[in-house]
Amino acid sequence: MKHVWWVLVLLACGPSTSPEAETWTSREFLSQAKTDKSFGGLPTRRLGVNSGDVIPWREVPFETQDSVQVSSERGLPVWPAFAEGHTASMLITEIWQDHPTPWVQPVYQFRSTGAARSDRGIFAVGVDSTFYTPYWRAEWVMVTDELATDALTSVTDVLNSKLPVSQGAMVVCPIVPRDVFLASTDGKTVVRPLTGEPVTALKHAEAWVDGTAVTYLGIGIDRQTVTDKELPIETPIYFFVRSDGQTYSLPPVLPDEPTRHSLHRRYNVTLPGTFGVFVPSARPELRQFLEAEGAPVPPADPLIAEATARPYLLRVASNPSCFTKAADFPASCHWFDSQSALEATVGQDVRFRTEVLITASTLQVGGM
Amino acid sequence: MKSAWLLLCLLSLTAAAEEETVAVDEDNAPAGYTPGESSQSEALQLTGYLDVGFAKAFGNGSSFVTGDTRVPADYGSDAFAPAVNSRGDVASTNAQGRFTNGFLPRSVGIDNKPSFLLNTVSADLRYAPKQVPLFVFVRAQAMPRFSPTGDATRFDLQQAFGKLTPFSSQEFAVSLGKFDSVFGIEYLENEANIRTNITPSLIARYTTGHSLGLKVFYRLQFPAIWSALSLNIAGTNDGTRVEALVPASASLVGVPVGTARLGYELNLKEVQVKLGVSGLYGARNDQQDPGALQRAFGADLRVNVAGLSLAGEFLRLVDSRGERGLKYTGQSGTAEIPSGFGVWGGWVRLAYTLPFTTERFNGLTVYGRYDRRHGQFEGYTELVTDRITAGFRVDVFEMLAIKGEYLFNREISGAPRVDNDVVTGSVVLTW
Repeated sequence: MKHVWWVLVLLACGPSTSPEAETWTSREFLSQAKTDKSFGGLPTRRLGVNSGDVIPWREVPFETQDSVQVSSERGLPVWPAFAEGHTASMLITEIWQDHPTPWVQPVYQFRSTGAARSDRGIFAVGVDSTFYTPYWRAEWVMVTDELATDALTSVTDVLNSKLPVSQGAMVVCPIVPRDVFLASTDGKTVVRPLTGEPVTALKHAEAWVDGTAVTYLGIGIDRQTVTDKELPIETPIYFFVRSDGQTYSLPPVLPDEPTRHSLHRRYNVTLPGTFGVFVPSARPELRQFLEAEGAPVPPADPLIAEATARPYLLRVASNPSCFTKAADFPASCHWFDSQSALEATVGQDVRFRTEVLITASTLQVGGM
Repeated sequence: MKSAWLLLCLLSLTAAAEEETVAVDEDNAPAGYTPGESSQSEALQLTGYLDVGFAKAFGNGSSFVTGDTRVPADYGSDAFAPAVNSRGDVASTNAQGRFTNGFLPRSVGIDNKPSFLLNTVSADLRYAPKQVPLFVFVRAQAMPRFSPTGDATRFDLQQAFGKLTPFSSQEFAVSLGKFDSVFGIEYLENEANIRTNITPSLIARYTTGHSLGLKVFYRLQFPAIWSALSLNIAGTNDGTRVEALVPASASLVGVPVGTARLGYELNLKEVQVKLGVSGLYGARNDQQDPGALQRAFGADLRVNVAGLSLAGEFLRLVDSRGERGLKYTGQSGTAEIPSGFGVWGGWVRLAYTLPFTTERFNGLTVYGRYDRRHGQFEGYTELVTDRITAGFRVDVFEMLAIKGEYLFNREISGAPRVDNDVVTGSVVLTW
């Protein structure tokens, strides 16, 4: 009997397995927007917004009143961030966890020696592929005017046409559901939460994937660096977390030269007790909210003018005593608002690499 | 592995010194690969074959199209199409620097250049003592190869098993070790000396692998109606895929894969008909997630009448995605993601053998085969490809087979059109 037991145990116990490789795109962001799940440590309620719902970050207590997503669209929230010492905003469109670094795939675009073409581009893969990526290498297909618009709708069509192809720039274009745009109250105006700087709307257009029309957001060209083997180069994005790993509701810090990088590896930074988050004295509800999360929010001088305080809202400083003297604010503060400042100040004992990769495209830097 | 090969060669030489007769390979026995120990006159026997080929592939020798920059390269083209020998090795797998994800055959590395090839040197050792119902079989093979990085010669212990036949009155056998697949019928022709034609079909990669585990075979004869029913069941580490795709030597998931074939045969004097259905179920052994399943169903048919032989096989196979970690193959290195996958396809072959032989001329067979494959990785373009194979086989001196064939590979949809036809020949010496 003992032997039978051991046989059963051996059959039941396989070798230890690796963690589950996960990919979440804007499609999953929207479908899970009303749940309390998290993707890569980020709450799903801040990754997507359905029509008629309150826009994440543009809500009480981060702002003084709630802003509601326009009823005709669903939205991807603009996230507040900091970069190179400035306010910044970013758009999260994909999250990978315990997953290989994403790849660069080709996107075919059309040119003609004659009239301008209005063909839709052709992506190599769609979001259902395990090899989906928002990082594309533009391949320009030179066509003749005789070729009908949208005559080619798949990569196979292009390759079989034997038309000349030349390599173009790197582009970042996440594929999104058809009714998904940047989160907005009126379908036109997009702003950075907390500070209200305007954000330029993104191109929202159609392309083909294997003969099927899909919609994408055009982040732009040269928004991601790659190796000579066409692999995206990741850069860090720093999120502030509690000692138990829970992410604070604070803007992350983007890498230097943020507009050249969209693929980021998530690093968690645990705030030392001597550090503090700046919240003006006129925002007690926000202070209370962050304190409830466990964030250190030292008092701020009521004499700090609202216009002076606004760009620093939710910045982290290593010497929060500087918040208490309006005369010295903000010049005397040592802010964690850039990659270089953060890496120069906090040691690796409080900066932790994670197995989470994020497409977080910078939409705006500075502007206040 | 090299030392195992040398040891086997030494044993073979010893056995050969005692061996006077040329042993006939029994791979083609109707029950599948169940060597008939009772026919052996000596306890220890050495057999084998030598397969020398000559092949030329067109285009660049691979299925990869210059200018196609999609990744993985092996998801968008059928890298197995330009096969040059009975192992399914292709002329080239050069993806021109593009990332591939573990869906590649082995390559002989000749690109588009015509080349002689030593496809396989195969040595079989059989030990069948007359006093006990046990049989031991070991097949070791050497495959001299070249790759862009230099010599890539490989030695493979392709089969190694013991078989117990406990009842002399029953066709019942239990095998333990590494043995042929039990799925479908194409595995019956895995070896070049047995195979009528040269190259395997487009679905052979899923059904003709060698597995490590336990196998049970039972056949029940119905003499009154000239019929028999057979059942072949195996529980193995990996299932039935070829070793280039899936490792067989260890279970990566900890639970065996079940495979079975139920067969019916009608053996009349003028007509023989054989039918079978096969199934496979278990965890994928190319990754570590026990919840990632492989499932397959197959059906096969063989009819022989008046020198004509018709054979065909259908396959449907589905892999669910492996959610944990890397993808492993029987080749070196790892791939990145065990994607979900589905394929269906099959082949049909019509062959005609001349109705006369002489002492020296043992037969001429001409054949044509049609293969078709619909394969799709999760979220990727479905590739529909087919192949028409035409060729001949001449057998002389009872130990020499001369074969030649042409492979017309076609991309029907999904895969870009590519010139990857192959003309190949093979001379097989059986000993």
